[in-house]
Amino acid sequence: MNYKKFLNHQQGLSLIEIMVALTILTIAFIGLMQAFPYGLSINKATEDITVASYLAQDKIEELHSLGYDNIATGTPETKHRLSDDQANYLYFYQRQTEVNYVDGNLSNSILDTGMKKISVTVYYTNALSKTEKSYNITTLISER
Amino acid sequence: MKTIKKLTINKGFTMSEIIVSIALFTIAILLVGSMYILAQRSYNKGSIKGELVQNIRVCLDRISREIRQSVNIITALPETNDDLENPPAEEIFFQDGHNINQITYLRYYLNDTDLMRSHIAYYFDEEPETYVTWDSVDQFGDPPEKLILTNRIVGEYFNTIQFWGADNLIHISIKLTKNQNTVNIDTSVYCRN
Repeated sequence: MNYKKFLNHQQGLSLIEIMVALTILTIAFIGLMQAFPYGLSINKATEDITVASYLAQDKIEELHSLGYDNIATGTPETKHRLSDDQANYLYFYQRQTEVNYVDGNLSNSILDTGMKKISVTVYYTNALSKTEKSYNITTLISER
Repeated sequence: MKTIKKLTINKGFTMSEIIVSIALFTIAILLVGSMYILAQRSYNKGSIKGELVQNIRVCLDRISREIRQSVNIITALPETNDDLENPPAEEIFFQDGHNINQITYLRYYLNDTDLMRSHIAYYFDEEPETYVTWDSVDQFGDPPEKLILTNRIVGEYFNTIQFWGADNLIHISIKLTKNQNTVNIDTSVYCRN
């Protein structure tokens, strides 16, 4: 008897209730979906860093090939785009190189100390924050 | 009797109720489905990109190290990469600097989308144990025999690999492609020997 009574008084959910539930669910999902583009942009950032590190290495190898005496001190390479062609991915990377004499404590020196510090910085724009990021490699080269 | 009565007063759903419930159900399924597809796409794209970058790193590390060790780069490279008359080389052939007792050569080239690494030696029939330089000739002016010691795939998904440069500074440009995802990397290697 109890069971029959229960069946007769059974009440479902109203349409309004369902709609509200669905709306809340949608809002929650939209929030969660933001995580995926964010994840992809982090992935892109790691790729950018790898590319930037190879571009910095590129310049260091070039300077190494000149030999100690021929590496100009100062700023042999002012910040510039690595390609003028917008279709080339290198257009989105900029590079600056600075060379200084350093003393035994690795602080900059005006005199020729027989040791030069090469500092290469590669600039690129982060896909997510649209801000400029940089990657720096610094190395030393000594007189032979 | 009781059962029959119960059956007759049984009320079903109206058409509009069915339609509304199906519509709501569809919306819910679409919502979950699109979420699933987005997750799947992001994962694929992310893993492909990661794979490509990793592939380049592995190959570049290996090529750079071996070029640095090399004492003789045999491929004639153009000075720049924008000379249409003299385009960048798409393979590189150089002497292996790893073992200076035996002269052997390394060749990196593309076989479709695979990067191949060949370890090659040259010898004359009279003395098969002694390896000679690739351009040497015997007393009759004949070239040496070629012996491929190993020939292996060392990288996948290659679209382009280019070499150019002068004065022992070799520029390398690599482009990898997999399912419309592309990764480019440019760098240089200075042959210290």
